Amino acid sequence: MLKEVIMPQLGLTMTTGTIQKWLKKEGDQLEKGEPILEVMTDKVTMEVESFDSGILKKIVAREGEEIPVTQVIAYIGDEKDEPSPELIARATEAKAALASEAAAVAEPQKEPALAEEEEGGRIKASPLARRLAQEKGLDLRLIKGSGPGGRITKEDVLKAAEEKERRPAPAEAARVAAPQIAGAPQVAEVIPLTGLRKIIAERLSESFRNAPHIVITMQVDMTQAQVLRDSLLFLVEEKWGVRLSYTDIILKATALALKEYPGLNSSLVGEEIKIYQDINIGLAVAIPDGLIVPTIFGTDGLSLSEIARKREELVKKAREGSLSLDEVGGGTFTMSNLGMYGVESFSAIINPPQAAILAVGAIEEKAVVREGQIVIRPQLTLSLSADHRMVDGALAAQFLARVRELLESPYLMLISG
Amino acid sequence: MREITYSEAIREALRQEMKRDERVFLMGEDIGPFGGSFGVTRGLIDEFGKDRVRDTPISEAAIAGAATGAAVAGMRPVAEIMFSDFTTIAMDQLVNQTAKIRYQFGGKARVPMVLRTPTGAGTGAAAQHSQTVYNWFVHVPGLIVVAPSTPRDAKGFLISAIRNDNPVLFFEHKLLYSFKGEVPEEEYTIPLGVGEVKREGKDVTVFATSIMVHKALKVAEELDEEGISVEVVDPRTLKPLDEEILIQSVRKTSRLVVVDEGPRSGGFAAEAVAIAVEGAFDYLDAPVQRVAAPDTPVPYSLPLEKAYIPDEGKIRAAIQRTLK
Amino acid sequence: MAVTKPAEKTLTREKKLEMLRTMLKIRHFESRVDEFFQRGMVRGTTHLYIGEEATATGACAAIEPTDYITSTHRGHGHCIAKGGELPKMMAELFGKETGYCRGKGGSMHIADVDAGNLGANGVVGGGLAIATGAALACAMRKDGRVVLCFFGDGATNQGVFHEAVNLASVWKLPIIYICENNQYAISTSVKTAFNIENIADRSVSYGIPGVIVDGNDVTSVYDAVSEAVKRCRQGEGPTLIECKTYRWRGHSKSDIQIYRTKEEVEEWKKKCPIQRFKKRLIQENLLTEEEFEAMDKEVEEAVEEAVKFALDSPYPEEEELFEDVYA
Repeated sequence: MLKEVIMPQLGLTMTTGTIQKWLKKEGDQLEKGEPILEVMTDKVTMEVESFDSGILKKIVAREGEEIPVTQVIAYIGDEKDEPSPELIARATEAKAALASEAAAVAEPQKEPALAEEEEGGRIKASPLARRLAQEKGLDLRLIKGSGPGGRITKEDVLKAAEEKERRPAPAEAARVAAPQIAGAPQVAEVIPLTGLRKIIAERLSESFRNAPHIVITMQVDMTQAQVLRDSLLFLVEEKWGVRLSYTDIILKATALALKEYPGLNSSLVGEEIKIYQDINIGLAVAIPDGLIVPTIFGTDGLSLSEIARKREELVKKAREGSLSLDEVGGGTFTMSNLGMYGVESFSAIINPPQAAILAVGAIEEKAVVREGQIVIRPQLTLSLSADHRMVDGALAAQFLARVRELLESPYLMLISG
Repeated sequence: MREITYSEAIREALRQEMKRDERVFLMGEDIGPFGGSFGVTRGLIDEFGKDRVRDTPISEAAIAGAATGAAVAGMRPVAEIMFSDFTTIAMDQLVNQTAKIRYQFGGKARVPMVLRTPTGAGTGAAAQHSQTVYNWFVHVPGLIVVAPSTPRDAKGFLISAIRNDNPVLFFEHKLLYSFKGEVPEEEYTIPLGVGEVKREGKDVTVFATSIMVHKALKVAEELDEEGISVEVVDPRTLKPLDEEILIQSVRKTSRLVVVDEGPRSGGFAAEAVAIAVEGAFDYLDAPVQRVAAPDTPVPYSLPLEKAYIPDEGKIRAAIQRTLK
Repeated sequence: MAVTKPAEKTLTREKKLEMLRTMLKIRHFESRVDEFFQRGMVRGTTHLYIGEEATATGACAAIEPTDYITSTHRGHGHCIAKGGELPKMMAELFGKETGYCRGKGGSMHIADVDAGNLGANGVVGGGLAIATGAALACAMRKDGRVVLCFFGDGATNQGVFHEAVNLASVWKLPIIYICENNQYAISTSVKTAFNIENIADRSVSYGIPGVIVDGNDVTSVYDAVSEAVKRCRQGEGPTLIECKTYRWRGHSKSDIQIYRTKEEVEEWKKKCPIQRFKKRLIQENLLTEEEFEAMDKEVEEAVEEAVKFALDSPYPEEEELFEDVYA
């Protein structure tokens, strides 16, 4: 009996998932609990394990497709199971796409001579042939095997590669020809917009298109914050093994300010503005292939040391790629700190559907006037980008002023909240 | 260069080392006036006397154990077990004592001994005098295992083995004793653990041990005329194994046939295949082939023994399986 | 430990002639094997029993067909004395399908399990523990059987000799350890391999009787073994019997015999067990020269029959290689 493989719901807020990669091919034998595909959702890639044992009979959703949760993406069955016409129909779209790809590569041959398939449909190819095909971007399914038992060998792959070069497929021809026609700059590398990068692109353009940004900037004197950090740094490190950072202090101040100005701790969903009771600040973290925003839940209720520990844990997980879905969802406000790159100030794009994002620059020694005297003080520039549909300029200013006040007189944090 | 037999090369190595180092002595069954069951030590008793060429009673456990003890106490014994099949009788000594002493005593003791033993099938000597048993010892940490295929290798490795501070099991294929080859007259050593490409080729690697090297070379020559270029690699030392020479050759040719006279299951060929697959998986262009003895005792009857021993026909067929 | 005196009064003429016939069978069989070796028709290595016929013959004459023996690498004589069929033996040596072991064992592994011969052995001392185990089975089953365990002088320097004989002694097993002391372990003389005069002396350390016998005197062997068998059947445990004998030929095909003199060999040939027994039987008026000639001729013909059978027999099919393989 055929069993369905569905797009799983992998987090509380997940509505759709993108098929990042099938780890099994049609015909592969599957054991219950074995990873079958990778799904990307909310910037996190997760392996999905099979619920059933059997043969992967039919895949009906291609890699890169975004599929609503619980929708069927494949079928598992045993040898006797034949895919029903209905099933084939559902698969048509995907099949057609695959076929056009195939035709592009193997145009000279009307009927591509396929490699021998082993029992279970796995293509017979030597490890060397597999590696070469991958390196050269060739589809093994379209290469005829001449080795022992019809196996595809190195020679077969090299021959196929040569053929491909001689008769480039139309799409490729265009790509190769384009720069010459237009006199456009020579392309060093073409990176397809996929995965995380694609999601970031979609999310940020959506935000920038839909949410009118208002950006306000303030200078903060960090003298007292510096004293605070210096006096706690050793204690915190000694006790918990983490280094208290300015980011932690700013997070704490921001959380307390959000509590006083909940209008910034909100989102616009459809026709409604939702004001959140929980203050969950997301912290933007740069990772090799993009950016990810893990959430510090209940930031306002955490002590500085707790924030420091949580921050360190999440940053580490982000860099290892081991954040769980729940750790990157549920944010109500976002903070982005580029201070470590020497950025004085910048305006950030709001992480939708949130109302605002705080951009944190570098702390720099600056000459400022205090009581008529020019003095040198550590100065920090904070920029708040807010969704103008929900947040008025005055509200934004009041909120940011409060953040500044808490940072300039950090002991106020003790009596706030 | 002068040519001598494998047997003479071993005798020469023994003679030169006995002259060079008075701690070196020989012990074994019938190795004195009789010269050993295969005549390898013939004449040495006349040269060195019966104190240094010691005939023993038929007591393999005592031979191996006494060699071990003498080695620990400062001598450099070269023991002989008449047939490698009889190492079984010395197994406790070799496996539980010889191999373990240096390690279990925290490096405080060394066992500089060599145990030479004739091995292999093809003489019609049936099940208890024909076995290929070196793989048992490959599986025992603490023993160096050598199986040279040429007179030159036999001499160089035996000298290395005698000079080495650790126990070395030295397997001499009976049918190799009469093989002739070029051997330098002077003393020389070949480092233990270093294999050799016996013939360069580019289409398929044949990794062969002991006498199988010669069968592989013969097939390589025949196939050369058919336009197939076979590389023959001889590990020479089975433990420690020159893994790199195997991996590099497979990376070059993308095809591997392993030939070993031992029974197939759990055999040396299996070990070699595993190493090749670990180290050169992405370079393999055909399923790896094993040519080994079947999982049966060595039969006596001529046609049965012929069917048993890996031969040129089986090697050739295996090479062809990797090509087509 | 006195040398046992022949006490052959209990033996009938018929039995004595049968013993002579057995020794002749061994002699002729081995002579032919020697020849086939040299002609390269018998493979590998083989060990001839010529000169030692009285030991196996006398010993096996003292037991019943249902009793067991274990043999050695020099095993043809034991097999014949235990009632082995010459054609099957010769066929085995030729590696033929009709041989005792279907051609898979050859000279060193002839066994005739149905006749109680638990097999020759390629390993010196290899049969000692096996024989002890067979005796253990006889004791546990209380079937009244005994085991004759043949081995050479060399084997008594293997650890397993000590282990097996001691075990049989403490368990009082029905086994007779028959040491065929033929003076040499290949080239190694008993004089260099032992610091004792008689191997039978070792019995003391196991608490069992040790008996020294002229191994070239078939009735002496018979008497000594008979006595030991009686002890066994009465539950008194094992005996070690040392049969002093001599092998006329080299250890094996390849032996150049530099370790002994021609004179020594000639001296022992004078003690030929067959000639001695024949002479005595003639003296006792149990045999005439003519009868001996006839018997000799008859045995020779029987051996030739065996040769013919072996030559005519087919080699095993290649598939035979995988018969009886289970792991």
